[in-house]
Amino acid sequence: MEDFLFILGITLQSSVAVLLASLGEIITEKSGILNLGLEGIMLFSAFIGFICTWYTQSLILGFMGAMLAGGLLACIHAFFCIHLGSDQILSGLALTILGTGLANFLGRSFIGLQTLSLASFSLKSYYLNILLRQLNVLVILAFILTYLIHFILKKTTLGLNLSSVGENPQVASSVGLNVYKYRYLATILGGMLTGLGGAYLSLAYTPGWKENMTGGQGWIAIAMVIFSCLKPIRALVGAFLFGAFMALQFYFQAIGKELIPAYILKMLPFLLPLVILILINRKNSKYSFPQGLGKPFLRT
Amino acid sequence: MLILRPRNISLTKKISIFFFLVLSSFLIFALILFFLKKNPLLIYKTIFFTPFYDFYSFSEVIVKSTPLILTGFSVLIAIRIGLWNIGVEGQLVLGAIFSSIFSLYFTKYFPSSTHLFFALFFSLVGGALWSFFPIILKLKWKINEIISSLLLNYVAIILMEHLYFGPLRDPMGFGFPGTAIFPQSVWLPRLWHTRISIALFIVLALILLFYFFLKKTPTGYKIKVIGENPKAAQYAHFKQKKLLLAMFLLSGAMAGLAGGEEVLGIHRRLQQGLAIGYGYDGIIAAFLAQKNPLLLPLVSIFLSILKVGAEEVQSVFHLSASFTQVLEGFILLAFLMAKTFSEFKLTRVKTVKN
Repeated sequence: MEDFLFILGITLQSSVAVLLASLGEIITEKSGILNLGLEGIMLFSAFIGFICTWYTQSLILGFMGAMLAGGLLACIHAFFCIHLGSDQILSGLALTILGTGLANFLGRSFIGLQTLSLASFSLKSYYLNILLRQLNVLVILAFILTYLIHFILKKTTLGLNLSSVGENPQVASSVGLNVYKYRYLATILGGMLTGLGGAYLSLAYTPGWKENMTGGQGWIAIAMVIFSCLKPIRALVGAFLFGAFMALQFYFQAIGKELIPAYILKMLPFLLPLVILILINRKNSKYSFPQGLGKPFLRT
Repeated sequence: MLILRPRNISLTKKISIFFFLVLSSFLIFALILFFLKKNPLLIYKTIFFTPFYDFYSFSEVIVKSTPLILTGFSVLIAIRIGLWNIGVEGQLVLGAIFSSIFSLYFTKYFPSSTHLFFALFFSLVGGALWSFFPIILKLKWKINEIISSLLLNYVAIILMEHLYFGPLRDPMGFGFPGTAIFPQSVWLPRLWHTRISIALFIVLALILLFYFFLKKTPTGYKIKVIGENPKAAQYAHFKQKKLLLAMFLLSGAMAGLAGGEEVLGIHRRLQQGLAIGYGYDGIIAAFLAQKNPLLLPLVSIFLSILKVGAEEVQSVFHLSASFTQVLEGFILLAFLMAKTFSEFKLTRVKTVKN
C-alpha cells in the first residue's frame, strides 16, 4: 500500500511538465501551427523561472517570468511561420537550438544553485501524506487545465473557430475569422503553457538550475501529442505513462534492487512513446490532425 | 496589415540579403554580450582571428569540419528525398560504438592490413542500424520520422555512457570513463603533423560521388522527384518505399561514419565528449548549404571557424560552450528570414473594415 501510494505520487508529480507542454502543443497544433521548439522553450523558461525567483525571491514572479519567456520564444516561431511563411519544422528546430543554447549560455554561473521551491501539501493522515507530500498546487492545476482545455476546444465557439482555422484557413478566412490572430494566440498560449511546464521543473520537481535539466521532456511531449490525436484527455494518459516510468526508476533506486538494469530504465521513457505509437497505430489516425497543419497560409 | 508579395531579384541581391541578416544576428548577439558586461568586439575578434593565427589553428578548423561535413551530408541525403533525419547524433554514437567494439575485441581475427577498413565499415553498419528503426516505423506504421529519430538520440547516448562507464571501461584506466586506447592498426593516419586525418578525403570523395549520382543517374532523378514533388512521383509509379528506405539507411551510415571518424581519427578510444552536438550542427550545415552537397564543405568550414574561435573565447572570457549554439540558432533564423525575403517582400496594405 505504501509502495503503491509512493509510486502513484511520483507518477503524478513526474507527469506534470510533459502534460503542460503537451497541452500547449495541442492548442498550437489545433490552429495549424506545428511547434517543434518545445524542448528549447521548456529549458529556456525553466532557466528564466529560476532566475526570476532567484532575484525577486517570489515564486509567483518566477512562474510568470517563465510563462512570459515561453510566450516570447513561441512568438518568434509564430512570426516566422505566420507572417514569413517559413518552414515550420526548420523554424521549430531553430527555436530548440536557440532556446537550449541561450539557457545553457546564460545559466552557466548558476549551475547547481537553488532558490525557493513550490511547497508540497501535507496533512496529518499518514497514508494520505505519502501521496500528498509528492504533490503541489501545480499538479492539481495541470489536471484542471486539462479538463478546461478539453472543454474549450470541444464545446465553445472559440474552440471550434480554432479548429476551423487549423483545418482550412482559406475557408475560415473567407467567413471572416482572422486566421493570423488565432494562430498567433494559439502559438503564444502554447508557448506559455510549455514555459509553465519548464518552470515546474526548476521550481518544483527538481528545484534548482542544472544544465540541460529538461532532458528531452519537450520531445517526449511532442510524441505524446501525436499519441493524443490532439485530445487533451488522451494527452493526460500519455503523460501518466511517462510519469509511471519515471516513478519506476525512482522506486527501483529507492529499494536498492536492480531487477532491471539502471541504464535500461533510463532508456524506457524515450522508447515508451515509440512503443505506444506502434500499438495505437490506426490507418485513419491522420484525420484527427488538422488538414492545414504545418502548411503556411499567406494572406493576399 | 503586413502581407507578403512575390518578387524576383537577382542572385547577388539574394546573397546580400542573407549576409545582411547574418550580420544583424551577430549584432543581436553582441547586444546580449554587452548586457552581460563582456566586450563583444573583443570576443568577435577572438572568434574570427584565432583560427587564422597559425597553420595548426587552421588545421583544427579542418579537423572540426570533417565530422560536420559528414553529419550535414547525412541530413542532406535524407532531405533530398523528403525525409527529416534529426537522429544524426544518435547514429553517430552508434557508429562510434560499433567501430569501438570491433577495434577493442575483434581485430585479432583479421589480418592487420584490413583492420582500418573493417573498423570504418562497422561504423557505417552501426549508423545504418540506428537509422533503420525510424524509417521502418515510418514505412510500416506511419510514425513521423522526426520524432522517432530524435528520441533514439537519447537512447543511444544512454547506451554509450553505460558502455564506457561499465562493460567497455578500460580496466587499467584508474576509473577514467572511457575505453582503452585502440590498437594502432585501426588508427586513421594523420597528415602534416596535425590532427587532420585521411578521412577528410574519403568524405570529399563521397560527396562528389553523391553529387554525380543525383545529377547523372535515373535513380538520382527519381530521388529528386520524390523529394520535391511526392505527388508527381506517385503518379509516375516510382517504387518509393525502397528508395526511401535505401536513402535513409545511407543517411544513417554517413552519420555512423562521422562517429567512426571521431573515435578512430581523433580520440582513438570511446570516451566522454563524443556526442557534443555534431548531429544538430549537421541540420544547420545542410540547410545553409541550400541542400547542395558541393556547398556543404564551405558551410562546414564556416561553422567550424565559429567553433574553434568559440573554444578560445570560452577559455579566455569564461563563457559557456553553448555560446556557439546561440549563434547557430540566430544564424538559422536569419537564414529562414533571408529565404522568405529573397522570394517575397513585406508590404503594408490598408485593411478595409466591413
